[in-house]
Amino acid sequence: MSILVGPELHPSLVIPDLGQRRRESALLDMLRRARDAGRVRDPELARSTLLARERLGPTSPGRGVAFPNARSLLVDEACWVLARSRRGIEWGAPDDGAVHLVLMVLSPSEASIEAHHELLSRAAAALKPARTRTRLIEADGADGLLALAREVLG
Amino acid sequence: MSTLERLAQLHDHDLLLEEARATGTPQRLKALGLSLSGVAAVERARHALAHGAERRWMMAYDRARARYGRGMVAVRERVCAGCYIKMPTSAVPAGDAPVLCESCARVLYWRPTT
Repeated sequence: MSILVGPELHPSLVIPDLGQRRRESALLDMLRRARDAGRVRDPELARSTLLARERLGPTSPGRGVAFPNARSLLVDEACWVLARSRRGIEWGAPDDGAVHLVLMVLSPSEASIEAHHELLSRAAAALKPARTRTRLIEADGADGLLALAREVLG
Repeated sequence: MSTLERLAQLHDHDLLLEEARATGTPQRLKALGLSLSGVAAVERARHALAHGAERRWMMAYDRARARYGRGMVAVRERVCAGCYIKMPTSAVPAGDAPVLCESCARVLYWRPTT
């Protein structure tokens, strides 16, 4: 049996009420948080990488969630960044719905594709149950959101 | 966009394309509800980045990429993330200008951390 130890969701990397309506602005706000936490350099440039990833195919599978992700030279340490938007963000999701939960997955360029996909799979699995998504959207404040997100991400 | 930023973007586009072309990636992403419909668009963007880069730096990038699989690496804590050699004490991050690792000749992404 193998046990994967992933990054712990850091309190400063949880944004309980993201004010942005546009995907580009939302990504930049999240990357600035990651920069402030010492995980990412040059948020504007890192956003270009994440937008290139969106060109590869939208990172929202629908259901109000999105998983922007990339391996990048600009990432110093693998991390998750979680943001919640009560108003919703236009993301180009296949169901045309707005995104209310964004779980960003960042890996350094040295990470293997498999390791990065493992983190991505964990993020997607965590937000798959509709009940979990509802609980995250209704969680009280940053502390409540962080505690619940840590619980579901394992 | 500075030469350093252009090369960093080129590198990240190469990583994206490597991921998209890797065996198993489409199936893995499909299981997550994600698709890879835009490979051609990323290839075009990669081409534009390469076309706009200074020739001497593109040659250095391509040479390192052919040898190591990656043309560019980050410097973290003054250590080249490619060959793990420590930068000389006299060396300083050059801002927007790329530099080559004196040991492995990869292009370095080395900016002062603030």
